[in-house]
Amino acid sequence: MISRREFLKSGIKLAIILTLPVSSAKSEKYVYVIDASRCIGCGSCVRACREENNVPEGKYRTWVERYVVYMNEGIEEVYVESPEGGEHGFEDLDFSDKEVLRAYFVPKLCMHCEKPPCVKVCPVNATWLTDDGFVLIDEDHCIGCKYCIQACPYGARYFHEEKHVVDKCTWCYHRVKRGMKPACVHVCPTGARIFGKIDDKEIEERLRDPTIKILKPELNTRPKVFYQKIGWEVW
Amino acid sequence: MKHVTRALLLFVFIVLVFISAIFTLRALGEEYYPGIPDSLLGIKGLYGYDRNEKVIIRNEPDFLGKEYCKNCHEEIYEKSLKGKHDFECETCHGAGRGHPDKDLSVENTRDFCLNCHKPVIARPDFSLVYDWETHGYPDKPCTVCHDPHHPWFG
Amino acid sequence: MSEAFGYVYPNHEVFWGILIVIYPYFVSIITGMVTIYAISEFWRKELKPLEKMILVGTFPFVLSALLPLLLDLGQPQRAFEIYVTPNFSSVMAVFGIVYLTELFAILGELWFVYRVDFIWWSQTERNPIKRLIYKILTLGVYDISKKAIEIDHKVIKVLTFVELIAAWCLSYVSFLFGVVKSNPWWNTTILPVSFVFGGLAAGGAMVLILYLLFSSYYGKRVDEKIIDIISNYVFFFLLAAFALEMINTILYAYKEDIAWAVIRITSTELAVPMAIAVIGSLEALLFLRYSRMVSGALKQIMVVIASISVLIAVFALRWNMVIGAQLVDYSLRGYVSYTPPLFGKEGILAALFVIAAPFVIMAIVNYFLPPYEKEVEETEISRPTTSVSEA
Repeated sequence: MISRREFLKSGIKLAIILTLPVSSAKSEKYVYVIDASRCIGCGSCVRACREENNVPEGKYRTWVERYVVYMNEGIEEVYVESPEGGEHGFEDLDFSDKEVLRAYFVPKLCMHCEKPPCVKVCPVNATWLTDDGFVLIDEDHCIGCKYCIQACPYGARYFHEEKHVVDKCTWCYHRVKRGMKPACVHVCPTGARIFGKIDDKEIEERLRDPTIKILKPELNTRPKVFYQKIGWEVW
Repeated sequence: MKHVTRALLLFVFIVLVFISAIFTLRALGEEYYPGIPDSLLGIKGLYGYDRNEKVIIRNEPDFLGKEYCKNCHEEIYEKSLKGKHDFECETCHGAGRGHPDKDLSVENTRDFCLNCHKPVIARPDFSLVYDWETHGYPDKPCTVCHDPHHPWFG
Repeated sequence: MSEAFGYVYPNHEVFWGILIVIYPYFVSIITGMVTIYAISEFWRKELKPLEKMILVGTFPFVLSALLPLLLDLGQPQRAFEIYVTPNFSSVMAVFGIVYLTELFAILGELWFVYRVDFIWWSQTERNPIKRLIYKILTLGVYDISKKAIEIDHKVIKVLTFVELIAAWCLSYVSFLFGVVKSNPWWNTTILPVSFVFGGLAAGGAMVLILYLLFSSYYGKRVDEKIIDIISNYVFFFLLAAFALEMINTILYAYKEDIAWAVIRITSTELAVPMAIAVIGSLEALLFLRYSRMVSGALKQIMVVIASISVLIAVFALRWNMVIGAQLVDYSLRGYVSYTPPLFGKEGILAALFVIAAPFVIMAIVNYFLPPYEKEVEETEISRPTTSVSEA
């Protein structure tokens, strides 16, 4: 027999559990930092991602863009390209007759937003944000309505033609939970991609950089992929 | 009035069937309707089942890391740590899972090396070989002079 | 199928094809027809003769509204999950619930409007199978006393109200697109409003066409007053829709934000549907206005032409909204071209099949629930109005 006091106590506890959403107390969030000045555009990450996650041909969980900013009649002009997502590296371009102001490679991937618009629009709760900050998809539950693809401002989602569901970068959740780095970070030869918990020393140091950027901040999606050494023209 | 009551009863009946169909499907469990993490109830997954686990279990890592390679190729492992090419073996050789049954040898051509070392626009200069067209023996692979696991002379 | 211009993200393609154009199109037709029905129920008693016909016309559209959406899904067998594990922050999940409300409201409406007929048909119908169906549909109540019919009218009023609200909420399916902040073309406040007005015009036009069709099928005399009233509504709805679309475009062009450059070049891809929308709307406006001044066969021809062009123009507007917005890549640096394939799930043939579906269903519904009686059939037994003793 439980006493009335105990009963009341457990009742209050239950009421609290039922009304309050459960929040993760400790900051276990992961973040991803990309140092564009270290990226040599070799495409190892794109190839590794394809191999690790069995990404179908022509779709990309991560890709590399090349930005060339040059002077054109007294105004900055931006040239962007990503031949086959940068999978087979980059060839040289002829900009010899123009004054090139800056040029760099920018790896792109799912931003694993803190306020993900894709999760908000999923009609069946097939995609969700985990406590440690990953946006994942349940491939057994997705109905393939492609609404989330429309909602993603970063073009990170694609439709898997064989599984008939939407697929996306998971930051290699299966690797991270086994204590490894994501495949793209793992194979990067120059350390342009850095991944870790937000309070890791190296991550924290880079987040102290006042020039660090996120993409499309005006959409208020709060991405967790941060970029160093990129210009205004990247979005 | 009788007909309104009957119509209403029919309507309620249909709604009840609909709702019970929903609850039956939910009760069938993860196999048919995989659970949603229901933070409101404070349970991980409405059916006592965590979908995060599924993402982990379904995918096996393919890239295993240098320490795995070290088991057999300790000599190369030690050598690479001393040179400029101290990154993961799998960057050039590809995923290690399935090796040694799977062949991991890499094509020995200039083009392969130039994928990183050719000076193209936007590539930072720490990896560049500016005279790549005339450097060394242009018709022979780079590996004639350079050891890819420890490319720096001296 | 699609070709890229400028820089587009490597995963970008037109994910929602022609089927998702048809889906909001059907929904807007439903809104318009239900609104005309509500007008006839609440305000314009002159439109009363249309009551059953509009119901018979709307019901097939409601039934087939989900068809294009289902065909578009990658996993259609999981579609019921929208009800099993709904995510209420998603417009699509809420749409499922609004849709059910609409479906039940219109089913109830049909039953109450046709109840007296069911009782009559269940006794006079010669075909035994049909008679059995009508008998089941009466739910075993053969009460057509004055009091019962009065209650029917009250219930019909309530149901019409529910139906109207649900239909307008359905038309806010445009929120499906309007809430996508990533897409510069969809990210405008005016979109849901212009969408509703376009839908009202299309639904009104559909009512006009169906009225003329049903009249000729049943050998009824066409009432020109009814045509005038509805075409007047269609005129103003279309005017509002057209004006809102124009305002939206002009505002966008003037503000010239970061997306405008790419939207402008993308719109060259959409020259044909845009021309159809503009010319069709203007022509329909003109014909609707001047059809009031003529009468007889000429009036009917003018109204039919105007209605068909309204339907086509609204379809072109939906095409621009759904396909046009997807041509713009989210990198805002390029676009893709799109021509729908002929075959396959997203193809033109599948689309034609989906467009034909409500009309096929309409023929079936019309067989079981004829809105009028054939004029040629001389009925020696006059319809009882108040009393039929229980058989």
